[in-house]
Amino acid sequence: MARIRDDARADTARALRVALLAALILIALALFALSRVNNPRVERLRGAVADALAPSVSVVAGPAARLAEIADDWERFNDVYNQNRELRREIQRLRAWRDAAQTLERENAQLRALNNVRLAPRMGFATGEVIADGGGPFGRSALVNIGARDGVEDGAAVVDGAGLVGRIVGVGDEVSRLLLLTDFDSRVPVKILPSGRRAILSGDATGAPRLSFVAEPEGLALGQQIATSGDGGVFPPDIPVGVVAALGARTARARLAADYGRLEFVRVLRWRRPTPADAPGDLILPGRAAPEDRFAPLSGSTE
Amino acid sequence: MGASMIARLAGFAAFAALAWLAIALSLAPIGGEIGALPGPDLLFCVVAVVSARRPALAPPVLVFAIGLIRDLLGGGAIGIGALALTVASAALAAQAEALRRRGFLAEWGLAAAWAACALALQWALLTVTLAPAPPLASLGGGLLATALTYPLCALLLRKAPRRGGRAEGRASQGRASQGRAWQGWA
Repeated sequence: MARIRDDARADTARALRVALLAALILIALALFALSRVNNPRVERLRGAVADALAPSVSVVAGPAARLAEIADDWERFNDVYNQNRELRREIQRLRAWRDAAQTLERENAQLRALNNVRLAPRMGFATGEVIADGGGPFGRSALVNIGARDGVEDGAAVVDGAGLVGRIVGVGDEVSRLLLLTDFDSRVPVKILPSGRRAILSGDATGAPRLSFVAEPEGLALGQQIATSGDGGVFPPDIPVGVVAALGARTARARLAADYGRLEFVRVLRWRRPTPADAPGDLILPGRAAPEDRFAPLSGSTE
Repeated sequence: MGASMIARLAGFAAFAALAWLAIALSLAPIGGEIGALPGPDLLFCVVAVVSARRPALAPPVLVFAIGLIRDLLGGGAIGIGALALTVASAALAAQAEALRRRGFLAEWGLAAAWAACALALQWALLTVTLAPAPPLASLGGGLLATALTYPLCALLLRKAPRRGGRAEGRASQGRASQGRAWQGWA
């Protein structure tokens, strides 16, 4: 009798486990569906979790990153002499460039004064540290230790010292999520210099994102500079992105300017695109709008 | 609160702490390049080892919560990572008793197979919903790294979970029926 009772209890427990597993699967699929439709609640949940857990991630990730750095530095120690010699040569070259740049800057300032050129709106930035790498097989993102309290806004462009790194796709109070240019979801309108032909830089989880929808692809050449075009109003124009690195029959690829190998500190740009002149009155009566209304909101904007 | 309950909660806490350590380590910005080829899935290794050896310490709700936290912190689509982890954990737990008899190679092989299934499940869900997904072949590097990391993880976790499990086993000796139901995952 007791055996039958035990068997019945085991059957019930097994059925409960199966039901629980089925419920978890349904919850997971529901969450997936919500994230696929970009439900703002899911993004808020993501931001809240990142805010809450980022400090403890740093506690573990920080020492691990330091250990990795020590190992890297030890490897590089042997190359210090060669690097030093190379750097001295580089300094010589850069001095020449600095002189040229200073000359050009003076000339540029004179020409601006002559033409009374209206400069672009002042661009601010907030500097943050990359505290976690969310890289996995299905995404390329990172957590940065600055958030809404530092003025970071959703959609803001992120750069390092060399060029565009990506954009902010989720903002918590103290932590933001940075979507790298190499992520599958990354699409950036760019222009290829010097012609200015437009293209879309599409991430595909490789180190060299694709250049798609290139206008007049026949004129593309290796080494041509790529910069943001500013189309769509998400990114400021003229931020260096990289160079054309490979040309195929149907597509081209870019080598990114940003140093993804040593991405420690990044700058999140605070940029507001100028309000387009929608009516003739806007052109002849610019003082009609309040100063803060002259900028379109960045938050909620999509590429 | 009885001794068995305290031991069980301690086991859960130890498992959650190990899982959290795995998540934090995998999020650490180390390695050559952020966003480069993915390394091993440390969380999967931890969950798989515990599920295959001490399934009582890895209930599906806890595994799901851990997977969901990883999804939320790691970026990308939410839910499918937790789903794949929970399904793989439940499948390994269901085979735990058989794996104990067959030895480590069988355990390793099955864990690697479920790691592949977990990746394939996520890829399939992304593809079916027309979300951008990497080519299936490109996931092989991460899968291989996960499979190679599993024995190391099993070696490192050999002591901690089993010790917790024995304590739990001792504590629950007087509650045989509950123990049987609890160990039903095996």
